[in-house]
Amino acid sequence: MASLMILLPIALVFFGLAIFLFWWSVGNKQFDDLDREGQRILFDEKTKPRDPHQQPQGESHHDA
Amino acid sequence: MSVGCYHCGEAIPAGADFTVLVDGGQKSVCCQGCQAVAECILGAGLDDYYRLRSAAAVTPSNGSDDYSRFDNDALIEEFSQKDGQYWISRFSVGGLRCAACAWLIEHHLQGIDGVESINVHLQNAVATVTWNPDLLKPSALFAAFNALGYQALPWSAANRDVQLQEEMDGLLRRLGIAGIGMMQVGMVAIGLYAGDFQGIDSSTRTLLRLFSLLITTPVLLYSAQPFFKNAWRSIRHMHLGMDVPVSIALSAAYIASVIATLRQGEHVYYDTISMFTFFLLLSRYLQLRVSQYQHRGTALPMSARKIAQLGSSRSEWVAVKSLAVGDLISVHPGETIAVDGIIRRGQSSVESSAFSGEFLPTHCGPNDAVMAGSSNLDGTLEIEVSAVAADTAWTKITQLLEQAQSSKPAIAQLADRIASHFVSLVLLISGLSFAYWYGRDNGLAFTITLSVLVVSCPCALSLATPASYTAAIKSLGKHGILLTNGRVLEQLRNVTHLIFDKTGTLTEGRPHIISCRLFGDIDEHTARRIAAALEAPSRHPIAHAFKRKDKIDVALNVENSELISGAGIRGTINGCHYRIGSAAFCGVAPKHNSAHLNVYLADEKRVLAHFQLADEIRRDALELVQNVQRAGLHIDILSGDNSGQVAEIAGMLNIENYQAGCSAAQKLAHVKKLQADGAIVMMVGDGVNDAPVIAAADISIAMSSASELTRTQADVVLLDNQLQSISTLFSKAQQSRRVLLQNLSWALLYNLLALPLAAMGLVPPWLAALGMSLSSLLVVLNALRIGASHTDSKPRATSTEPKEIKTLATNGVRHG
Repeated sequence: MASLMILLPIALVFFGLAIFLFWWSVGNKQFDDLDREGQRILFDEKTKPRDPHQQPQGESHHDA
Repeated sequence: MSVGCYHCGEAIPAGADFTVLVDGGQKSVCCQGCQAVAECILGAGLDDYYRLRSAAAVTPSNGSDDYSRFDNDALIEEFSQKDGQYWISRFSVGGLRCAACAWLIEHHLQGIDGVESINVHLQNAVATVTWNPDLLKPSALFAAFNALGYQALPWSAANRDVQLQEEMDGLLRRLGIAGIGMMQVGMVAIGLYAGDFQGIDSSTRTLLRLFSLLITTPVLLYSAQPFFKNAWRSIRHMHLGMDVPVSIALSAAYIASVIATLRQGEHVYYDTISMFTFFLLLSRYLQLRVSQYQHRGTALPMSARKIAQLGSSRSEWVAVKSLAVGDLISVHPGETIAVDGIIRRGQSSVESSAFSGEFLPTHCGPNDAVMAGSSNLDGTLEIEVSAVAADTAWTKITQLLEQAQSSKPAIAQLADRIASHFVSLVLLISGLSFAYWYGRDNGLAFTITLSVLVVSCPCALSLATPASYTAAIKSLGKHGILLTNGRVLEQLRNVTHLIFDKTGTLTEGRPHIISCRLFGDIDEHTARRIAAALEAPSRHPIAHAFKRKDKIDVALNVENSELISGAGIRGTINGCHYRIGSAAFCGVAPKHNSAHLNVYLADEKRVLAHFQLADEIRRDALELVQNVQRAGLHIDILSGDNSGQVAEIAGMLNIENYQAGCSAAQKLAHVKKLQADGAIVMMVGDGVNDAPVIAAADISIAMSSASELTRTQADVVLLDNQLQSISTLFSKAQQSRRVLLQNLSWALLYNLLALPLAAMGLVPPWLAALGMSLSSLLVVLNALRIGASHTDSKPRATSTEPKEIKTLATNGVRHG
């Protein structure tokens, strides 16, 4: 009984947290394009300020 | 070389010598366009694209377009919004095939100075770009898409897209809360069920129940809101739909649970409430998602070349919106006409397949009217605007369609019909049982009435239809068949007439060479080579028949090529003058009464060859027609085409009823007449002029190559353009109907058994809750069978079977 008094509020907190995160991710348009996101992990992400000298090196590694 | 082009996968013409350098090795590509695009991709270090793509690229067009027309502030505002110093613009991207394309575009554009961020939406084929107007011109953005081999067009969300998106987001939020709530409550419910059997002290039980109450409340108040709203609406319209019993059951179960929690009652139903809400929302969400695919693509250009006076060579790009009646615009070959107008100067072939579905262009000259949305093939036209953008025929047809769509009578679904009987029955029984128990035991009357309402929860009943439809829609989607509503599945069984619009449905919608007669000492191979070389610059559909890649090997060099609109093409090859085109153009006496298109090839002195062209019948057409006829359906062809081709195709496919040269009104009248005689009509069409007929038909099917307007109107869209899909559709519909009837019968049986038992006070609460959950689960699992099994594609091979089930089911309802 005593453990329930602690665990249930914790579960409530997680419930609230899960809803908050889900809410945020819908608002963030993360569920808009389900075809795309499933495959995104297969592709390398390169961030914007790219060093032109590093690119050719990066590619030669892909062949392995 | 036997391997295909490194970029687009097409066969490489023997004479072509285009290569790109990949990882130190030479790879062949088929044309200059592919070479340029591949070099651009490789040069930017994006060769991952070639390793990871799941579909070959579209062969890029060769010519570079003039994008400077987009450097116009008024125009940018049409598809962009200002965000601080940046513009956020949306482009619809043509040629997007797989996730690798999206990745490629994002990475290439990200590298351009002035592009702040870019996101490509694969499902809608829309790219959203945030860019800085100080560093970049809009035309550079369009050019960047083009450099990769994609065609970008300005895109702005139509109202219905925005609405749909908002609805989807809202539904997803509700679904998420119901799902998370279901998990939490379900976890606690295990403890409560265990307590029922093993014993639990009442304070712990109350604590667990209070926790469940806390979580179920938002699920009921927020997630289940759409059901309550719909129920209220249908009550006001005096039509009891499925949402009414759902709402009654949800609120009854909730009230009963709250009372049980406060009074230490026997049982609570929080888990059932949240699970039921979740499953119902899930099927609604999945069905809505399908309709998202329908709204794709853009229609009319947003800018036009305005000229001050006829024959003026000076033109400026203006937004179509700013054009007024009486303005003059100039339209170059290959462009789409943006407004309705009257040709004042110039001649050209104008193709309006989007309206008429006819692939052959008409030849237009001064004083001919042209409609927005038609494309100008081979001559420069100067057009006087006769209707501003908001009044074009195109816009009017769109509006008409939207009206037709909203007024299309919705056929009441089977479950809804059952529902209205069911609701009255439940209310009657609970009223009676309350009256009966009130006389005997005051305190018990309320509890028993509640339990009647809870047990009658038509979970299984209301899940039966959406669960089977969702499973069928999903499984058909895998076969390239897009269903826009489940109603089709129910209606399909009754279809008596299948009507085809010839162009683009039974046929490929483009001509091919069926025969070649030679005169003089020329061989067929040479004749075709010369013809192909001459036709090379033309955009006319006839030209494409000659340009088939597998038929020509070495391209000949044509000099002084001249295109005479509506007649033919003239050019010099190896010092010899050739003409290709109509009989009159080549100096031959025209032959009448030919069902085919006749094209002649001539040199200076005499005619060399006579080609006959005809539209090609789809490969799977004959099989489909035979299948359907075997199943006892009538097949009609209603074509707008006036040539003898309709009769010929009908003959080849063994179709007895056909009408050629029908106007849209005649087609409509024909369908109406059939319907008046009691026929259920399924229409397969593709042109916009088919839209009225498609709206009138009981079930309409459009190919994905059909115009956008027709697609949005159709009940079914065949994504892979295979006629065979229609057979698959029939067999899937039959299967899903069987499963649906099983589900409905089972659900009704369960509810009708439980109802009297509950009214007699014989059902213990835990059994009621368990029964509710198990019956719903059974229905969902049964529906999943539709997706899992592989059926053969013969339509209605066993046409007696569904009828038997049908009578069974109606009997069942009558008994209820």
